[in-house]
Amino acid sequence: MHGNAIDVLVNGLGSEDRIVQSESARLLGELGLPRAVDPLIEYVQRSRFHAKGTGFWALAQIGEARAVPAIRPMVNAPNCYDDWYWYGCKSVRAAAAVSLLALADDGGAAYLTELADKGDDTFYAWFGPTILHLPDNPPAAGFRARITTDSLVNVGERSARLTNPGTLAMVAEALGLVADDAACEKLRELAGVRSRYVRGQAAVSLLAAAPTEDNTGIVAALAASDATDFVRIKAAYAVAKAGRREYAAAIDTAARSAEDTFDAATAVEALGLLGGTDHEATICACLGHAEPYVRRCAIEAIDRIDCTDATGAVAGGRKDPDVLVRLQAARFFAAGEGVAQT
Amino acid sequence: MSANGEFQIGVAVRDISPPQPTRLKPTGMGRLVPTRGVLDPLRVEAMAIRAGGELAFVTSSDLRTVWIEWVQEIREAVAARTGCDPGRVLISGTHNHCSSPEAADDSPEAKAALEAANRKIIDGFIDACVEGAGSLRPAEIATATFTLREPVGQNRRFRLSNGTCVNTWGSGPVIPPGMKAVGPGGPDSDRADVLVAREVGAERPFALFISYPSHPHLCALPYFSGEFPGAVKRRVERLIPGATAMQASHAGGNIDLHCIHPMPDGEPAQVQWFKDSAELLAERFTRDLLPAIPTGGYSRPSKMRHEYWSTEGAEPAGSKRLTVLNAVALGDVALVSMPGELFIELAQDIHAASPFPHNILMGYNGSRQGYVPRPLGFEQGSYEVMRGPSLTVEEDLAQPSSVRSRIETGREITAKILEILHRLR
Repeated sequence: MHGNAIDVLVNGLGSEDRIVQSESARLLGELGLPRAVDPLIEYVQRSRFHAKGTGFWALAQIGEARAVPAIRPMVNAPNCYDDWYWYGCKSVRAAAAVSLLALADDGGAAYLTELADKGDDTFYAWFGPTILHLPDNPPAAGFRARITTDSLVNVGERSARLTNPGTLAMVAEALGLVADDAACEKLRELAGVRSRYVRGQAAVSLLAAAPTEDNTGIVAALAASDATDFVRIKAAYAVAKAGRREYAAAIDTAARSAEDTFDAATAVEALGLLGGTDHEATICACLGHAEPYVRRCAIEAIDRIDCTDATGAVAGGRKDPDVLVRLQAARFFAAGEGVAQT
Repeated sequence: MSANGEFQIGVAVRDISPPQPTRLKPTGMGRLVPTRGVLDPLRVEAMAIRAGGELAFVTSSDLRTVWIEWVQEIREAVAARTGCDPGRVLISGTHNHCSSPEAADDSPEAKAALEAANRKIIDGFIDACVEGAGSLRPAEIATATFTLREPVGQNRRFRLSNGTCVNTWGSGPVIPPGMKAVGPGGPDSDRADVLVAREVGAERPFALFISYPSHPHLCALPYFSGEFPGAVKRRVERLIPGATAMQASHAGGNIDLHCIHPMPDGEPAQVQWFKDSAELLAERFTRDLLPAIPTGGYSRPSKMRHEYWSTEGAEPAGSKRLTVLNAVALGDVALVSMPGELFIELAQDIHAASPFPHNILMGYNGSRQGYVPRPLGFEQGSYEVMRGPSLTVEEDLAQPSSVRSRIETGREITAKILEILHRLR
């Protein structure tokens, strides 16, 4: 992985590893480079893995209308295994359809309507937050309107949306975007459930939706005394994001010392999302962490905090033994290259 | 040593392929149509073991599910026909998702076909045990643990950047927009154990019992098949003429065989892909198994120790949960029949803490617990835990009759297994 950083990411789309493919697509989407459109189209057409949904969304993020004719037929012919009893194939089709909406095309509207009418988790949970983030164009608006607190949380007896922490965390994220009183009430309830990952998301969503004194008190209490590092980190991030920057200190400590490396990575990610260079030293220290995911989050965080001279610190990532770290480093350097090479 | 106290082993195999497959379908993975036939025969195998005058049986089968009612009938019948203590019949399956038939429809013909298929399975277990006892011969045993160098069973949970897990069976994980792909949600299954039996002083074994955590789950074809474990057994028997291969799965709750996806479209191509995949995985597996077969260090245990433990009668009213543990100790080797849907981390815990240097774990023994992760697995979500335990402790306490495991189930089962093993040691 040397040379042109954009090429590193484009080449990643052709990897034999489906996760390398998918992460390359995700990072190319973040960069928003028109040059990546054709390789991404080739990727979503060729790959039969369900993780290729990231490729459709990357095309949406880049925003080139010329991708539309390639995406449109894939809503109904996604070229992947139809695990009809699960949500893999449905998610690929939904990714194509939602990406079309983001590109102001209604070519996937019929399929999304079908999913929404069935109350399918693919629409409400896995893609709920994405749909709520769609731009304000006519085909997207109708689908955004279907995602309400009621439609998110009133599910049939057979649904596992509210019992599976995986889907429930997505619901919690969507509720934070719906942000009405009922959503906040539900988020306060979710801040007390057994899964730390749902509690953590509920804390972030609650303050994103309504950073009132009461809500801030609830989340600050989680930041202070939840039994898990993960929730304390997420809650501290939520409170800091809401303006109480002193809470970032606890996140900084967790980034350096959390016992679970995933928690450490979450802390590093949070420091990046908060922005500013107050915690640059901690983030840079995490570039040398033993866990690759922590290193990935550290590179991503450096990208976000806009520190003055990070090039040298991140350069090592281009030769990292972990391919996903190398991709993240490529994305860092590609951001600079992309300006000249779009 | 007297003939009666001499260490002996006998093995036998029975075909348990459904007699009328086209009126049936395999359970699991939501098949919608009747099967079109049997791709390769389903089997049950039994190993009879006599040590210190005591008799025990370990069985393996190409089944996804062995019902406790079957286990009870098999034990009683084997005891009646061999004089063995009924508790010393250890049951296991591979959890193969191309087996364990159900009726394809509500017709009387389909119901009759199911009844005949199930009768054949139960009789197959019993007859294999009886034949195994009838073929007991002087033997010696050794065990080996080996590491798979190429992927076979891989962790089927994948972690997203919000901390939760999604399933990565079949064609891999879904990664929703905005999420980073973190990595596997747990360890892969790269450890296997094998118990090898040979005639005293012989060069080649006549029986191998393989213990490997996996969830044979290549895809939902409308056919019966022994899947990957069946392919391993056939391959071993081809490569070691005269040997009977047995295989049990255990702790396969979070392990799948999805390392060779994606699958092509259309049934003819999928059938060929299925066959090729099973053979490829069997080739990878046996490539590491065969060199691991011990050439020395065989022993002839002079006594057998045994313990049976079950929660029958101990569960609260209305509970549909059931844990059956059944262990036989032969010298340095422990054979442990246990629930099957534990997550692989729990098997690692058992191997690490067992007082026995060699542990042959065999799952899917009639227990009912659902999937059993460590506590964090419940918090991460995904298919295995998507319907519970409840999101709050209070809700859990209000619903004690669920078949599904509780937060503490994994700890309780591993602790009980280790307690038994310490007593047997």
